Amino acid sequence: MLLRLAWRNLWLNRRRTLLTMAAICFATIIAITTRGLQLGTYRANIRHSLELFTGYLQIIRPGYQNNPSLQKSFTLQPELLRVLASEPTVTGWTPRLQSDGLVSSGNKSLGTMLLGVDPEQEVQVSTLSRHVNRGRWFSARAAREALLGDRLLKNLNVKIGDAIVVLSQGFDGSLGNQKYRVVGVYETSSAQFDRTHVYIALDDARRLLGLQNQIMEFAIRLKDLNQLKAVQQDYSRRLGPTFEVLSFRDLLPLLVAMLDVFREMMGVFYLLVGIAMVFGIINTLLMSVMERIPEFGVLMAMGMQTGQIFAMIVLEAVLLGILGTLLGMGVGLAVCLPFTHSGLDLSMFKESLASFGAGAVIYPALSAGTFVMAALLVPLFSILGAVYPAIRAVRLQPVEALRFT
Amino acid sequence: MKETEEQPSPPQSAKGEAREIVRCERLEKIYQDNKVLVAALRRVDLRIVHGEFSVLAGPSGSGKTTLLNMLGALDRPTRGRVLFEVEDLTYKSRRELANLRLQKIGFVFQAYNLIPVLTALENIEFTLMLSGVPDLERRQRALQLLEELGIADLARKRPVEMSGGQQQRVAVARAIVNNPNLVLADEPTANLDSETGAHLLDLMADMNRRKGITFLFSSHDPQVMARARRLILLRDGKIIEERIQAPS
Repeated sequence: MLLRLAWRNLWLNRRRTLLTMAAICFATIIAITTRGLQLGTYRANIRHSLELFTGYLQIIRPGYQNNPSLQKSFTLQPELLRVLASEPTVTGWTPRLQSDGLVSSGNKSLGTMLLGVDPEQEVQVSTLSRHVNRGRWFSARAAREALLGDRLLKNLNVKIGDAIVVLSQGFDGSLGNQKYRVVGVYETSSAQFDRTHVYIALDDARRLLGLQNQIMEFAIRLKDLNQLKAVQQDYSRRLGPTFEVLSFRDLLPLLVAMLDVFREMMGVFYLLVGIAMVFGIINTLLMSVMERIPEFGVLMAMGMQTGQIFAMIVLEAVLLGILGTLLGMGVGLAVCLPFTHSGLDLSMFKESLASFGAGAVIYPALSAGTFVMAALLVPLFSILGAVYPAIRAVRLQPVEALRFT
Repeated sequence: MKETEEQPSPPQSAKGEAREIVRCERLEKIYQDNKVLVAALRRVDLRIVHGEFSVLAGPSGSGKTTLLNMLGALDRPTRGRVLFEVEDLTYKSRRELANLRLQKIGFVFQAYNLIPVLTALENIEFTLMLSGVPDLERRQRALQLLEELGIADLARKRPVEMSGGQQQRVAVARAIVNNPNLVLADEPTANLDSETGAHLLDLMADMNRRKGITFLFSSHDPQVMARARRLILLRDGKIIEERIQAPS
């Protein structure tokens, strides 16, 4: 009956209730859409980085991540390949060499990250070949071909077919240099990546760095991201201490940290939205309480306990919160759902998104957690909003309340 | 209403006296109005016994409502004490006073004061709900009372859909549904025309006669004063006269 009373009290001033509900609904929509975009961006960033560059897992020598020197290179052994092949969820692996280098053309020189890859195996792990928008993917044989990022190409002021010279320190400490012909240009959503990475064939890289058949890392792609931890543990166990098996989370600590900071910032944003909502509810309920002071006097005269009055006002707020949240969830879902497939085209912010490593099209990700969070937090904020008006109501003395006009 | 029902005899003490419901001793109430102290009650002694149908009468500002509020455990005196069924209310907590009101006192207000969002039936049920009466039983009891008072047709109506007289009848039903020992009615006819007021008084007199419910009114309505068996006259916060009279 208390619930019925609270429900009907809510509609005593229909317009005010609807307005507050609309505010709660709007806050919920904002929370759901921004959370969806945040999750979508988060996942896109991670996926972009791991699919383009690191792979899901990497097998390296211990200590290589902190000190990526050529001394940490290792030779391909049949046993290692047997271990790699034993996991059914692994869909591809690729050997790589990487080193800092200086790339020059004419009188321009720029510092770069030089990557030696097997072009045939690289496509099993990395999506880079899909980002080649001019020229072609380079060939496996040591044909002294290079693939450059779009921005690096511009910065060097070269074009497809032009020659570049790469200078790098070899295994024995001597400086090696080679001339390569630019055969293709790639463009990813990360401006930083496109500005710094030069791809050459693995054998060309070995020659430049003075290596025989060593590699520095094995990048691995999985069919199912959820299997990441299990595969990582299995490989670690079987390969022993000679190798280190790192996941993309270990390999991209800066990106993960940056996204965590971003997530925390969004948490602050949600908190601010919640606080605004709390004040909206305080306003509505306080006005409602002030209008009903004589009624509270009657309820007290009838013997209603202050706790029951408090509960009734909180119940009104919770009902208001639940209604607004449900409505907001419905609208939020309807707004986000189409974009989860078609994506939200933010081309107008392409430049700034690229500097952040995100694509121009963002696919909002709807997770059950977002809805559970909204379903729990909004009623909680509603209860917080009800506390002050409820305290005002229960502090009333029956006689004063009855006399109140 | 069944005319054949016998009037219950008021409960009596061992000495043969009627059982005391409420008593106040040397009751004083002083309000602070801005910076001025106003004595609303000055050393009032009063005793109400079971089965009374009495009225506190007097001009505006004489202290009728203040006294009624004190006797109804709605307000605390500045000095003196109130004893409800010999229990001193002075040191009762807010919770205990609310419980006392719920279980033993019914209120009827000048402005009816029904809960606007509830129907007549729900308004009556609400008191029973507060007392913890189960759903089905409270519905039956509320419906039965509405029928007894001849207002069963109002059951589904909200206050805004009822006339003043109808609302006040529902308010009386709400006040007596929990079988209180005392019903305090503050100017119950003040907002009603004389005919409706007379019907309402008939109803309350009938409840007093048939069910032995004790009624104490505050009023300056001659009609109410004429119907009371005991008239208590107040002026300037003091009882100046008490009369036992034959009700008209």
